[in-house]
Amino acid sequence: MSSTATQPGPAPASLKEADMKGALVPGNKPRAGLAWRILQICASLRVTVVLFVLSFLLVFWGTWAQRDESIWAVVNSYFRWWFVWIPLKPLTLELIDLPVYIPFPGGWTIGSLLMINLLAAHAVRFKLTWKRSGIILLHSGIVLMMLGEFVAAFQIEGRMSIPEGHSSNFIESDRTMELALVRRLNDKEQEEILISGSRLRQHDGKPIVDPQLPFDVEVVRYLVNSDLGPADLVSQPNLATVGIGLRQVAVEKSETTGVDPTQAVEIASAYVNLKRKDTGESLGTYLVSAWFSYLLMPPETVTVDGKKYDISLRNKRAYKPYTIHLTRFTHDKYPGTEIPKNYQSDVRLVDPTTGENRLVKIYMNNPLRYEGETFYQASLYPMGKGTVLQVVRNPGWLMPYFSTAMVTLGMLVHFGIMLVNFVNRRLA
Amino acid sequence: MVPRRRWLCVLVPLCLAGCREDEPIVKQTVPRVSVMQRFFGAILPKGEKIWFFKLVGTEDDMAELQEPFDEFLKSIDFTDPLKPKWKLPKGWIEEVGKEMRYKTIHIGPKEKKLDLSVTALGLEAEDVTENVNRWRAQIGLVAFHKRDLEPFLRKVDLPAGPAIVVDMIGPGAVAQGKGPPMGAPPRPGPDALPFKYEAPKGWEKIANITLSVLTFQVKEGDKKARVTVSELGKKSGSLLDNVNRWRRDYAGLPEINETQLAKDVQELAVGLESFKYVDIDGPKQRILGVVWPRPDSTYFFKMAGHTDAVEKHKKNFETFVKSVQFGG
Amino acid sequence: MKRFEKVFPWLILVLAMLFIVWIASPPGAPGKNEFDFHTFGQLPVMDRGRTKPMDTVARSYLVFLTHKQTLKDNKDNRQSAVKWLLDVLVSLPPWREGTSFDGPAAEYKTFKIDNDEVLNMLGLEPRSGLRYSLQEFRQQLGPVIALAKRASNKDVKQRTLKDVKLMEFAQQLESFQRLATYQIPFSVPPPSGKGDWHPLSDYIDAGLDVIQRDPVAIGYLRILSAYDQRDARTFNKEVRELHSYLTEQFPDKTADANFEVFFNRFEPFHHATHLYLYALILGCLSWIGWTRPLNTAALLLGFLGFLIDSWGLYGRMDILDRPPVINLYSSAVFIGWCAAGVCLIIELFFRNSFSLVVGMAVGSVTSGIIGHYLSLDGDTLVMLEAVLDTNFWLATHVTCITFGYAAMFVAGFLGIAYIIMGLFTPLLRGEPSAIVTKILYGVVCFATLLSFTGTMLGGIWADQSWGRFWGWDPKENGALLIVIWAALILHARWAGLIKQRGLAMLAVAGNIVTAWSWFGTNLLGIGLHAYGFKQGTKIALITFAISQLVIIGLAMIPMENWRSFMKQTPPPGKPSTKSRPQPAMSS
Repeated sequence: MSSTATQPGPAPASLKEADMKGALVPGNKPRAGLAWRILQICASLRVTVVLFVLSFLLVFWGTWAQRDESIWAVVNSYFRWWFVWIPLKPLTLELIDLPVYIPFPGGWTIGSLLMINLLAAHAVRFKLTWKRSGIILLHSGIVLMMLGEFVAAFQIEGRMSIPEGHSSNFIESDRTMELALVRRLNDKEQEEILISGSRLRQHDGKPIVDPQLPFDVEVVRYLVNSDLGPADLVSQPNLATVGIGLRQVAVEKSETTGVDPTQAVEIASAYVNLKRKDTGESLGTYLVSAWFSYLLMPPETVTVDGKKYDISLRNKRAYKPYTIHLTRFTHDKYPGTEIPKNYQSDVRLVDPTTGENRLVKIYMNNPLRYEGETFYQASLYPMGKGTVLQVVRNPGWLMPYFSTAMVTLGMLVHFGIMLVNFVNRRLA
Repeated sequence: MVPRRRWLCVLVPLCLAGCREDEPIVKQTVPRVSVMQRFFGAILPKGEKIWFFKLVGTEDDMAELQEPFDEFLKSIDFTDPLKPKWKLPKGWIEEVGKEMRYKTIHIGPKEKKLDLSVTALGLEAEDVTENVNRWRAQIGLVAFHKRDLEPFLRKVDLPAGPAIVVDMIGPGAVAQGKGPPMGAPPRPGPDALPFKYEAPKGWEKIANITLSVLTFQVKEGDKKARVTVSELGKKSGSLLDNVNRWRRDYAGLPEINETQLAKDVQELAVGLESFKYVDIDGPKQRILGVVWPRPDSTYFFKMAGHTDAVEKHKKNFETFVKSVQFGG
Repeated sequence: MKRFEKVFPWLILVLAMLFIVWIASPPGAPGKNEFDFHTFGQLPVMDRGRTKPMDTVARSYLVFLTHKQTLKDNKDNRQSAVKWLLDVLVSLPPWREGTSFDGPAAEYKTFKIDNDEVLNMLGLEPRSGLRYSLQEFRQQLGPVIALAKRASNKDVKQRTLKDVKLMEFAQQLESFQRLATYQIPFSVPPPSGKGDWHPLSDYIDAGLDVIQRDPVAIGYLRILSAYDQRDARTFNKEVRELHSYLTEQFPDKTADANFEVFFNRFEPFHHATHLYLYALILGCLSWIGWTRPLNTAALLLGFLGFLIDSWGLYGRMDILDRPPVINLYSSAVFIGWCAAGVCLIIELFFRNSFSLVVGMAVGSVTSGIIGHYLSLDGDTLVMLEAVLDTNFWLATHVTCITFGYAAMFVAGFLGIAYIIMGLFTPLLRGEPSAIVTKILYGVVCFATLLSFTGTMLGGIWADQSWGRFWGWDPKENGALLIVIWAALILHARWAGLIKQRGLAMLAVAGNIVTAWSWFGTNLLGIGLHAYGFKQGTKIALITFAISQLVIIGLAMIPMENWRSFMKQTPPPGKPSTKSRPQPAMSS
């Protein structure tokens, strides 16, 4: 098996042709067997090219689809899944808009096939020579990079919002919600009873009954993305029977799209009917909305059996053993403009479990990495002076760094060898 | 052998992504590391004054005070419109306030510094949005547009009259913060005038008559003139119609036609724009009029009155019109 | 004759150099009754976050309003940008009573309004150039401004083309107004040298005694009042006094400003583009006859242009203290520079004018034409948002990926050259065909390396900024498409699926991919119903894509009909062997 690398430059095509035949037709070498034959087909460069074409189309349509769907919907349906039904609209670059869907291999299918193809190719043509060193290095880098993207699909993202002078010990998920019943125990602690957003979302008319809950919760309506409006101006029946829901109404809003320049997040709302456990008597239908948490509204309170619960729909929280205290937030602009020059959060990280207690400056391109989590300066605290930190947990975060270096080095070596050979021949 | 192992690669993620159970209800006790400030406020207009009631404290303290505060509001009695009375809950101690403040009411132990303040201001302070935004700044919150403030405001019919009750949570005032808070500045509500202006010296703002949105009384000795700004919808008629109406009704002059009008009309340049400007002197009154078209309506700036008064204040009138700036 | 052949290229070079020196020479001193606009233009001010000379302020706002660098007055005389700025500055001076703008500034046709509906609302008739003066439309202005404000309050997706154009127009008016009322630029430096610059309007608001305490503020007012009274002598005296005062107080800033004025006046990219065009023409002529002298002359002109181009890039980097690519405009200039440079170096090896012509074409198109259109927003030397404010990533990721674009375009244009030359001329017969293919192949390899590394560095930057390496957002995907396409070309070549012609065709298709990544992904964000400012870009992009498809379509014509390969065609039925003449050659 002569390899691609042994013929630097645009190698004689006839020779290449022979290569291909060699890869496809057993018999050049007497190791023929079914497995070997399958391996050779898998290793074919033609397959590589076909897969490249497929991935090109997938990426292209996956970009267009972001005009209509949220970036996360697209990532999860196009790139991080096995197959995708592509609507006609992005497929035809919006020339035709019919509810027709074409099946197409998803990112994981193409990625896996590319991986098989690549590994098979090296298995078939493996030869450890200097001339092939670049190729081997760069392809190992590619393998690592694809694995990195695979690992990244399971990374956890969230954010931590801290007003200046305050602390936080939890990370809010960007996309999952929870219904929280919070009871203050004392100055230092509170009790929380949580119903996950997916439970709320798949409501079926039956109340959620659980021994942990102080009352039964019946989800009357759940809005994935919503807006609020004054009750007297919105022409829809008001489901709420108590509280702020009497004044404000939640209205359905379409999901956000990936190319939306404002990149608004989805803000959910729900109507929940709370029922006494003993009598089944309704305590009222409440409007709960992520808007309220977002706008810093005082919570709705429900008192049952002498216990007072704050009830709110909020982004799912993950509590941490450590606390981050924002001592100072600075936000500079260029003089005479609105162009932000720098954001910086001066924080104190306090972790009683490890005894960690230090000052950290977090600013653009300078994140804080702690306990597997990375805190990035993301934006301004929307309600006042303060910061919003993006928090990411990705155990594979170093993989792209290595793979980029490997692939680049590999290409430099490979193309470098080709160039040197070419120049030598030219001089000869 | 090699390809077979590849299949693992395909199967593992399938399992990871495929199955998901109903998530259970979670009960947990978590530490609280941050306590916010909570703000109760009430705005109660009464006669020539607007009364403000304000109480700020930590979330925990305030949670206990929600009902007493409501009870307190209900007990307010305006038999004497300038000296309201109320019934104090147990442990609340009243004190006469300083300067603008009418009363200060101390609640609970001194070191908590929970003070309910009662202040009266004149009618110039009637804009609710502005007041609430001022309060928001006091607990470290950015100003909001009127629409976004809605959820925080509760219209309550108290025995003393209709009031607006405010309940907000914020991080608390930021000591070293300089300059205005970030975010959108408060915009005027729909009731406010859509434009800013500077009134010349000696002009007296008086109550609006009929269609006008702004009215001034102008005196020059015993000669009087009146300046009005009125807004008319799309059907305000042509310039000729209006000029003829003014000639007829105010000046006491016969009507004119287009060609005549073209000769009489001047231009008044204001900023980048320029407007039609007429000066009609008739046996009854003299009238200056500027027609200011806007997208949905037309504004008429008019000065009508005794010839001498109008003559004296013509420059002032032009300066006034030129000072007008429409907002968004 | 032989001797002339040797001398000719150098003669051309000397002529071109003389022309450049003439351009670069400083302007003569103004006459007795002429205003010293040059010195006024050198005064350093702060605008949009950066100290720059008054000359740049004048040029950038004039370009923003008119989409042209200079202006013709009502008598059709050319006016410099600085003169226009001075006229604006005295259209509503504080010493005059009243609040309306007048004077020549209100009469210059400075507002480019290219939307029928906006024109109609302003009571204007479309006319050639579509430039109008304030005087012509000020009566209809109020409703239009109010509608523009309403449009700007709308959700981005709800905006119609009219809304966008209204907002554009309102922005023009606002700039004009802010200039005329001294709110921009910030012309008064902090007295102690530390602190913020302030606009002159702050001083005017503060009152006369504050103005008189500040030599710069009072200096500007004296200058403007002298200009208002057409008093050239006082004007010149005051301008020079202020300039020497500022030079003394802020030697660095003034020196930078003087350099920038020279840079503005010299217009390096403009001249580089011209030289590239001449080199292009000479290169093409060299194929017809008198090959060696013309090729040498073209090469020399190309290198001179490249030198000036490089100086221009260096000048921009020096002024901003930034790597070369900071925005779309500079990416166009940089692509032109890279393409020209790479091709000139390749030309040194082969001397057949092929890569020369291609490099000059890419260089003049990107840096000249595209760069020109992208510069119409005003000052192209902009300050960067916080997330972009990092010279390290700008120098690595952005430079690398832009270089990758350039390499892809060079490959694509080599492909076009291969198809056009092969199809319509006999020039590719024999060895050249193989050589062009080799160059093309090498450039694609180079492009793969640059695009891949650039894209991945972008991922690393994103990981540093937001904690995710890859988010599949449109911009990232655009870059990834280039990488996939380049890898596809190489693997297809290695697989033997494509030969010379196929390589050329795929490289031409690469042009579309690169253009998409460069511009297309920016256009995607604009909603279906909204049109955005870049309507023109969209049309240009589609036109470009179609033109490339046409070229690819032409390449489908069977090889035996190509002029370069015609006569050696074997009997029909086996055309493919003909399309591979290189085995014999390269072995």
